[in-house]
Amino acid sequence: MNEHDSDGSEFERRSRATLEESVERLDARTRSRLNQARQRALAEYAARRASPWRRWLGAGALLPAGAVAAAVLLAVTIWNAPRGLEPDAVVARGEVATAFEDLELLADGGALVDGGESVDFDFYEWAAAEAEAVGT
Amino acid sequence: MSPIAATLGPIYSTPAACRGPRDVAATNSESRALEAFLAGVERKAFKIAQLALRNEDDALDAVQDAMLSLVRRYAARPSEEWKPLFYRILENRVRDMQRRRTVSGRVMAWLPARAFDDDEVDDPVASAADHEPAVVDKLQMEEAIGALEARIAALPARQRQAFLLRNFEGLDVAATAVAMGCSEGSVKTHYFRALQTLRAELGEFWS
Repeated sequence: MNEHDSDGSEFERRSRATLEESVERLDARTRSRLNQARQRALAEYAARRASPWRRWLGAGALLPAGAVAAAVLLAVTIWNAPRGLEPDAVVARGEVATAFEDLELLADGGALVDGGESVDFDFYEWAAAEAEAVGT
Repeated sequence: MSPIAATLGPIYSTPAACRGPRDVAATNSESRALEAFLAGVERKAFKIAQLALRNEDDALDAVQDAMLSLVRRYAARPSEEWKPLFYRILENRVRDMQRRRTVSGRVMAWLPARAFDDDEVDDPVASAADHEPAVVDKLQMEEAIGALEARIAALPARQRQAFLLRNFEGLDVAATAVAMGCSEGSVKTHYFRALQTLRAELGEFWS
């Protein structure tokens, strides 16, 4: 094939001039509609520059409105829900309870193994005497 | 626009309210460049689409779709890339419309043919040539335009694309290859064959 596909020939020049003349002869209606098409494209460009998220909305890539609403509702519910006991709090509460139980046991045991300062020996002697008197 | 912003595209661009004066000025500059580009290609693009589709309304629709598609997808690309990208989009759109028309034509072939409209017959008196010099020139040009456009429209699609993009739109071989989605060698082959055909058929007008 010819390496130089365009040889700048008279035929090429005349055909180009003829086509350009045909463009110059486009009727007013066609020119107007082309202008409208251009303005529409430029308006689209301006809108996209003003709001980049419009691209997602226009492309339909946004999640369905119901899914978005559900996600928002879930987030609000979690945020406002009454907070349960944290694990550390549970452990702390258990430790406190155990401490109280231990204290009660110690108190009881202390009473039993008390060194005698608080034991009422007179009461025990009276009770034994009363028991003997009843037995006799 | 920063290189990163240009790479990421308009989806990650900063909203207008958050942009500084320099960014706003850049946006206005881009908008003006885009308008100048579209205004510069729209008529030739329409003519190219019209020769392929042979219908003005379809050609206008194809050009509008190509404009919108360019703005949506490639406005952030360097302006020197716009023309081959625009014609690539336009060619794809034209091809889609031709395919759709082929399908609808097959469907319509099953329907009864439309009756011939007698009102469309030319009035021989009204269409008689005026012999004033300017009018003669005008008629000769109209005849030349009609003959050339008819021959171009009859070319195989790839030859027609190569001829119009190279000769009429003035794209170089590399840009034409991008617009046609083929190799530069194929562009040269298609263009050369188109020239041969047109020369053979239009020699009577331009020899």
